[in-house]
Amino acid sequence: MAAPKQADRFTTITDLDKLIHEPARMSIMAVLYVLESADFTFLMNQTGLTWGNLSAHLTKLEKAEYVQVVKSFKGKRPNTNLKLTSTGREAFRNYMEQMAQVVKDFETK
Amino acid sequence: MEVEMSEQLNLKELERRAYRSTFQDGLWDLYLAGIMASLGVLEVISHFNDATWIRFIGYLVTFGGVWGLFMLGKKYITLPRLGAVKFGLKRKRRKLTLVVILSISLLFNIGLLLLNKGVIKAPAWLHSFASDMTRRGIMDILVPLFTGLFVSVIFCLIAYFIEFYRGMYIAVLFGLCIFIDMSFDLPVVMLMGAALAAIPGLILFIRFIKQYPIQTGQVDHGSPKAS
Repeated sequence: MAAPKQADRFTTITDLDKLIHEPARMSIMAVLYVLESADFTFLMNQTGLTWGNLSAHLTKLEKAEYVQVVKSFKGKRPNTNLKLTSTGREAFRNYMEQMAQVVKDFETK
Repeated sequence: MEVEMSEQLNLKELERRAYRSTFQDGLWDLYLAGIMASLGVLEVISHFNDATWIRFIGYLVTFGGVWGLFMLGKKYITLPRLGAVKFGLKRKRRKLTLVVILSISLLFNIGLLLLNKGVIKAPAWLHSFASDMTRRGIMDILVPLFTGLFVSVIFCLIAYFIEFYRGMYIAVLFGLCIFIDMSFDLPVVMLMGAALAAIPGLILFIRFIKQYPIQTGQVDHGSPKAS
């Protein structure tokens, strides 16, 4: 197979989903991708993000309809449950494939 | 645990790490230690009063109590600190496999009990084998050995299927204590075993409490207002 042209390589990179490409959001997406659902506290512990930071990133992901946010109460405590939507799952899968392609293209001699 | 761009995204490892974090509280260790301690205490009590109904109620109260404490600990200590999570289909399948294995072992135990009480008639070969072993005095070793091994294997399987690998140490300890207790009539060994199983659990529990303080001040939990 012929090596990809320089222009093709950059096309793949520029095609990357920038919403997911940010490290904090990528870690949120990755954690939610491997789980069925998790609440805010669990996600905060797993990603190591602060409450405000996580909240801000989740807003962006929610707006893009990548993450479904369900707010409820457990007793008197508010609880926020999070899960990836099918769009989010698909987007993350595509992102991983594109990333793998980018790395592969760079490795091509 | 922020995923860096330079890091290879190992999703399997990520899921495993998230799953194992649910065992960081040491409550499983303490729960299993509680079961061992219950058995030890009931054995001691049975030395003074061997009535079957006392034993039965004792098992119900202690096992139920230990399970209740475990569930309360998960609900009021672990959950507010670690958060709630639901894992995927793979984990559910593993749990289902475990339920099937435990059900088979339960049926096996019921079968043994019925055999022992004479409700089910033992086949001739088994009867003659048991008589032969009893005559030779081997049964006194064989029964504790079999019971200890059985308990160890079952608890090892539980530990394997729930990926609680520390549980294997407790499983071996549990089996060994049962073997010694049954062979030499030393219920105190069960209590010593329980203490040995509880030590790592207690250390983990204290570390967990320190590492994960309860999240406070989140009036609108997870609200996107902060953006």
